[in-house]
Amino acid sequence: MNKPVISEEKLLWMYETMVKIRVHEERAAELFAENKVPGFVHLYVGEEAVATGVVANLKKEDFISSTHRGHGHYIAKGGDIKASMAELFGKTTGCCKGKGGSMHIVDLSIGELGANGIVGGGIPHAVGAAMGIKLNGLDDVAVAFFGDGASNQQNFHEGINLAAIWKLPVVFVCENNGYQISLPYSKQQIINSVAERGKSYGIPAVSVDGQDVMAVYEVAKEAIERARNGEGPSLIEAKTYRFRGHFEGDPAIYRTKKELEWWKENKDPIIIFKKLLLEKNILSEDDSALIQKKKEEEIEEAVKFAESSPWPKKEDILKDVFSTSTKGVLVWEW
Amino acid sequence: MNEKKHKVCTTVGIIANPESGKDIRRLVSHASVFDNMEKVNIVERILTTLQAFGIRKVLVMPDTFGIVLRAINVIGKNLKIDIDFLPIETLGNWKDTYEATRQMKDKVSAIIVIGGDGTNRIVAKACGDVPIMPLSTGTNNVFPYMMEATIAAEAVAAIVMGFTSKEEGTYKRKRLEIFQEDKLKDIALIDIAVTMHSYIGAKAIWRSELLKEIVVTQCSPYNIGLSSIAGNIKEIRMDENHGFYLEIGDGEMIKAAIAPGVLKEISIKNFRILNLDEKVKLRNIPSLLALDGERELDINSDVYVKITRDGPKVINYQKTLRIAAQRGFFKN
Amino acid sequence: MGMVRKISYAQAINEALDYKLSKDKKVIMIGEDIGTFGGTFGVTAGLLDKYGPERIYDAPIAESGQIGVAIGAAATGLLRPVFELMFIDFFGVCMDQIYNQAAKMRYMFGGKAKISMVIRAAGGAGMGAAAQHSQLLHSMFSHLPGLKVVVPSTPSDAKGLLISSIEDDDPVVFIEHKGLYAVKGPVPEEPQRIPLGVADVKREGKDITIVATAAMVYKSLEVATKLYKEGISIEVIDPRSIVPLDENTIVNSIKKTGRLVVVDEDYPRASFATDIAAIAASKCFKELKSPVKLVTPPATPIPFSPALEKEWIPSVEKIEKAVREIL
Ligand SMILES: Cc1ncc(C[n+]2csc(CCOP(=O)(O)OP(=O)(O)O)c2C)c(N)n1
Ligand SMILES: [Mg+2]
Repeated sequence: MNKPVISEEKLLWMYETMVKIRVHEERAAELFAENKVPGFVHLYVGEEAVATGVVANLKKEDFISSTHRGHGHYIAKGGDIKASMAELFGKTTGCCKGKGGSMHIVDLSIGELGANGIVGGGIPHAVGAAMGIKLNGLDDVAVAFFGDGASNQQNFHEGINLAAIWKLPVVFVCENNGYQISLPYSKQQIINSVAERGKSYGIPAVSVDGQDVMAVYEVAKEAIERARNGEGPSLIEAKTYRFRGHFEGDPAIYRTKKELEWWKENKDPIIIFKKLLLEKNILSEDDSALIQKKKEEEIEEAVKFAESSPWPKKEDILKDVFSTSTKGVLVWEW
Repeated sequence: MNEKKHKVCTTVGIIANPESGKDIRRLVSHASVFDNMEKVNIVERILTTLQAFGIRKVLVMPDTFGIVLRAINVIGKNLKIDIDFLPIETLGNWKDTYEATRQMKDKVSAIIVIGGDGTNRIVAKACGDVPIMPLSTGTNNVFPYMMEATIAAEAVAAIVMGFTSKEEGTYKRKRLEIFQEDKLKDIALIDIAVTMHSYIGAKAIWRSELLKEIVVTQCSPYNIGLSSIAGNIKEIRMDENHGFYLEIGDGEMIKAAIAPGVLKEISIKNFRILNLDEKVKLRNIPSLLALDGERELDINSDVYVKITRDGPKVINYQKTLRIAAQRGFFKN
Repeated sequence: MGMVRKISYAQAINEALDYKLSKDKKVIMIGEDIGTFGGTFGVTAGLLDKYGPERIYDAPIAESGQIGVAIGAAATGLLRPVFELMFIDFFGVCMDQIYNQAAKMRYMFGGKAKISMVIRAAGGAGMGAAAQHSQLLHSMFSHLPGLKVVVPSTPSDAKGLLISSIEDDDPVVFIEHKGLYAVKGPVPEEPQRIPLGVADVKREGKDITIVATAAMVYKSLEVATKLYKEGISIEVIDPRSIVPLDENTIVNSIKKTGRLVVVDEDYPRASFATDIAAIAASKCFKELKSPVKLVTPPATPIPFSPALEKEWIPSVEKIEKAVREIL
């Protein structure tokens, strides 16, 4: 066998991470359907290769900013799934003590700057993190994940432009899954790739098949190395597709079943990657089954943890507004 | 097939690839992004030019972006050409190009191809004997012309309207054929590179460390890409009936621009002229084959490569227009 | 008591910025025209020369992006940004970053994020700058949980409060009244910190309590001086920060005087003025001897014509009238 330019260990990490995200998301869908997970839940099924291929090039100290569809980013970056699962349930043991939920999972200790309920909101946060990195003379980088819909928003344009003029170590990763809820990409922009926008900000931009984790990995590697070497920001568009509705409960009337089936059959990132690993004898069917089982167990453990965790208390409502105890009216009366 | 001339087919085909011009080379090699609105502008200029020279019908590959459709909308009611879209369900990948070429080849007298080496490679698989006019969408190509679309459309019109004959105005290009167990497995137009990359990934090749062998149909010191490694040793023109084979390994170092802005030092172990139809067995297997600069084929068993003259028929626009001008093509 | 030098409100703010920039490498500034130009109101003059473009960022007009960058930088703990929004009126183009991002991160993330950043902005009417360049808007920000809101009236308050704001671990909206930039007052040279949430009794009195902010503090003091001659003793309280709010000082004063006038330059409805009235009604109803009076502008956009703007802004006469009505 010809030698990979990437270690087998890393390839297996990528495979396990993608499976972990998939299992997590499918379980989250069930939990939502069982009314155990409240609120809005946007799942990452089908898009696993993007977060995985990008984060495979990051270290713990590097930062990412995430989106409403943030479970995949969190898991890939190494977020504790017990804490995030408990957060999805709204339990006090959650990563936000039950105050954030699915759209706000966060782990600053591993550079995960938080999921975001505002489309585009997190983009400049990664730019800010990159500014902090640069001014402190660190060799870390920041990555902003966002959707195709977000690339219409001011924060995209402003954030990229600021990063470009200040030459900050940040990589913008647009997960173009073809839809902004129901609006297809072709009706959002008159161009056919978000990558075309890089030119107007004077930064390199590239479009990549987001269902092929190796392609994402390679592109991200170059972009991240560029940023780390002080060569400034770049933009990656990963063309991808979400296999579930926009949020759980979405009847998805805006797309055909045929389209969805085509993607699932031809462009499932896990199937594509698994095939490669099997061909290269890096993975066997047995290994794969074992990984699947292991991930299911991990997720199940997280679910158990979440289910058995206590709810937050009423007095917790008033906590964590400020770093100092609040003076002035916080509540007129309970 | 000389001069049946009952009814001359004056239909032109257009294949514009919406996916070209945005790959990883923008990131690793400062290649220019070629955006789709620019392709729309190109098609707009092509259509108005064809119309001005009397072309009445154009057959088009539908694409996911709608390059031609948008151009039609821009021109509006001044457009008199009859434009038909082929009945293809677009997938947004190479299959669209292949299917469109296959379907249009018997219905058109020439095909204008807007894309890079990769797009032309697909067209070449299915275009048979129909002359093509390849227009480049970026600076990192060898096969297509980097030129103004108006002139390209003029040359196409001159051929299609019969001012310059196909025999006069076109020439056959060479191609590389890849055989596995005596079966033609794939083709390339300019170069095949054997690389030790273990996966296809982002396709392009911008690192030279893993390169092992290169076979080219043509090469020169003034072209970009993997073939320039050979071209910097010896020039091989497209009209010469041979190609070049080289192996990378311990030996003399040469510098080559393997992508725009990417200069690599590569050590050449040995090289030789490869005659037309002479088979060469690739030495490094298993490996990946990059066809015209893009990783495409994973190979695990013996592979032979040979150069033939069975490449597409390409319009020589300078010669075509020179002859056409003498024959009154530009006169009212 | 040694002589304390007098400097302007703008200079005082500049000194606070200069001090923090010199002491803390993490402090940086982002804003429009804050560098070479020295700030639209000259507040940041000299800082670029002293600290260079890696600390003082002259930014393109992209307020949402700028605040977002400041938030991201703060969230990492790597920097303590001071963002200048040229006019507080411009918050509309970047409000999401202010109230959905900066204000809520700490809470949403279960107390784990620390957004130590300051949004400095010029506000206030009186310069004929019309409806989009004259508002003060502190009520707006104090409405939103998670933001600290400071509105200093004097040069020394401005300096002391800004230093504290930069050192604070929460996002602070620091609104500078542009009518006060040239006002001079004694300001200690040393970096004296004034904690947020401590009101300042600008004048003691026993008959009536006036709670006033920013430029209204001066007008209220003018009325107090005038009426003192008639034997009317007015206590003027400047809360200085709206969030946190020094309720105790205000409540104790109302309990003492039994009468309250709130004088504020922000809009009247759902506002700082009504908030103080609500505190009075709910916390010292028994002690109130007369209705609470609110002296604010009308609920209209700010008119341009000097003739109208003068009427729009609460005047000394209106304050005096309000005081007399409840005595
Ligand atoms: C500022 C803002 N506008 C609208 C919404 C409602 N919304 C939530 S997700 C979404 C679509 C986002 O599309 P995209 O960026 O492509 O991300 P995707 O959901 O496809 O991952 C919208 C409109 C929002 N949360 N924030
Ligand atoms: Mg989307």
